[in-house]
Amino acid sequence: MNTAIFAFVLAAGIPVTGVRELHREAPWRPGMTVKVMHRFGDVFVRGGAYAKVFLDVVVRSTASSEQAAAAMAGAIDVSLKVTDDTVLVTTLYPDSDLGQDQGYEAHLELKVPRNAGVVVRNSFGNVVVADVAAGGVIQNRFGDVEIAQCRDFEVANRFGNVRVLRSSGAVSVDNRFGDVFLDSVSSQVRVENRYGDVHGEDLDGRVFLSNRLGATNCRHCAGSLALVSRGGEVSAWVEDAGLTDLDVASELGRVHLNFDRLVPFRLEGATHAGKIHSLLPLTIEESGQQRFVSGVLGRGGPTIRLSGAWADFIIQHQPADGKGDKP
Amino acid sequence: MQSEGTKFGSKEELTNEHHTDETLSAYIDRDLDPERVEEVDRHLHGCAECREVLDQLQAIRHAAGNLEQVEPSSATWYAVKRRVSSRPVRFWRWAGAGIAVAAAVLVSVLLRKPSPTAAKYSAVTASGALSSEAAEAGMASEYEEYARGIEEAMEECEAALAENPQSSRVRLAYLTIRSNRSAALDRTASWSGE
Repeated sequence: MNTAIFAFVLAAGIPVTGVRELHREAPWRPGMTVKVMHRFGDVFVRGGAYAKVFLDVVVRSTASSEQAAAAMAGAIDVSLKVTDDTVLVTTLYPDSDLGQDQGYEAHLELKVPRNAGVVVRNSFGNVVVADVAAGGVIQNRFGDVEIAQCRDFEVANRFGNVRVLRSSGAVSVDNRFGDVFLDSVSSQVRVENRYGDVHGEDLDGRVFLSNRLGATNCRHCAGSLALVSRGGEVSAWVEDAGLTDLDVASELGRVHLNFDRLVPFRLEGATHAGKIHSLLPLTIEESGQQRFVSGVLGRGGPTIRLSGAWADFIIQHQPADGKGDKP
Repeated sequence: MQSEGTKFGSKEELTNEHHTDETLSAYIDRDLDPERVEEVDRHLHGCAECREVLDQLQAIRHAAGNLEQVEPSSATWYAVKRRVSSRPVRFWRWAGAGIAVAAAVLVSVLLRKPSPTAAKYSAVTASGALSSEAAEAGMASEYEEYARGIEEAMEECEAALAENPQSSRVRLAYLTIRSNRSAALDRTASWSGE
């Protein structure tokens, strides 16, 4: 029976996968940047107490026969070139045209010194960078990007999600066609996203989040927070006096401003062709198509400014546990 | 201020009502008929608040004119292109005015109640007029850009598949983008009321 199945598989031309593993090392000196140029696979970079750059590669190739798959895997290489200030990692794929039953991918795993700068350019795969403290740039397409425990990173991604976790310094994210998640990110944070949602939690410092055609949510934030949105809902929570400034600007998207009951604040806002709903002791006035809201509660607390165009404001007591008054 | 009985008429003829931002914007654009222009002229002559609003609207227009213009692409899906091309010419004047973001678009709203928000965001925005046409132009531009991005991505995936036919990553990306494209077509059609 097994022989019959095996014969059927061969006759059907079901692709066979070839696997090849590579290992490379390169010397590193302080001040050097590790630069990775890759396509068709994932890239993992982990910083640590390493004196060198270590590279492990798993190549997978697909063809109609074992021999063809092995030959294709053998033709794929990853070069490691060292210059004065750079360790350059480049994946080299075969130039020849492939048959419709052929394909390849390579997954790279790098261990680098924690103080190495990191630059990754990748497409059709995911990128994960962790524990790199000297900053870096990630440019990726058609995959997700995650950075964790890193400092001073710039991320540009298309057609995938971006996650930034427990990172600090100057962090900027430019993403399209995907969501952005920020968790425990501090110092200077700038996010420009389109066609996806932005979620921020435990953000501190100077934070600017801009989004189009997607929702924007922020909670447990401190410092100065600015949210700019077009064509999507905005939800922001004011939970304690750690948040010093909150600016929200929304066009064609409802704004939900949620307070913990005991938080003092100072609020002013205006919306054009939108409504303002609130059970809190605020002053709401209107003039033609414009509506204005203002109010002061207690002493201190954040200064909150709302501006909207074709955007309703819902201002309510809504603590993080979800129980509260709804207007 | 002119005395009674002169070119600007009697005090009784001067309106006590402030003009809306839309009226003042149209006044700047010369979009009012002559009688209305005269009425606004008379009011402005005696109303410092409206003159201040007018100055600020003119300043926004000047700033917007100095920003980089974003021209909408003509290469887009039939549904979006058909909808846009059916609009009157005036629509395109605002569609060519650049990307509008709420805070600076709202400068004219906030002029009567000064707010630091408007000043803070004015540097990153373009359009200064609050009108539904401007908002629709902005959203049309957004959807065009969305559509363009999807098309370019599909072309990139097709080229990658030609290079690497059996790549699971490329196939997954291609299928995901095709799904996004269908959803975008539905969204565009529903937004255009078709």
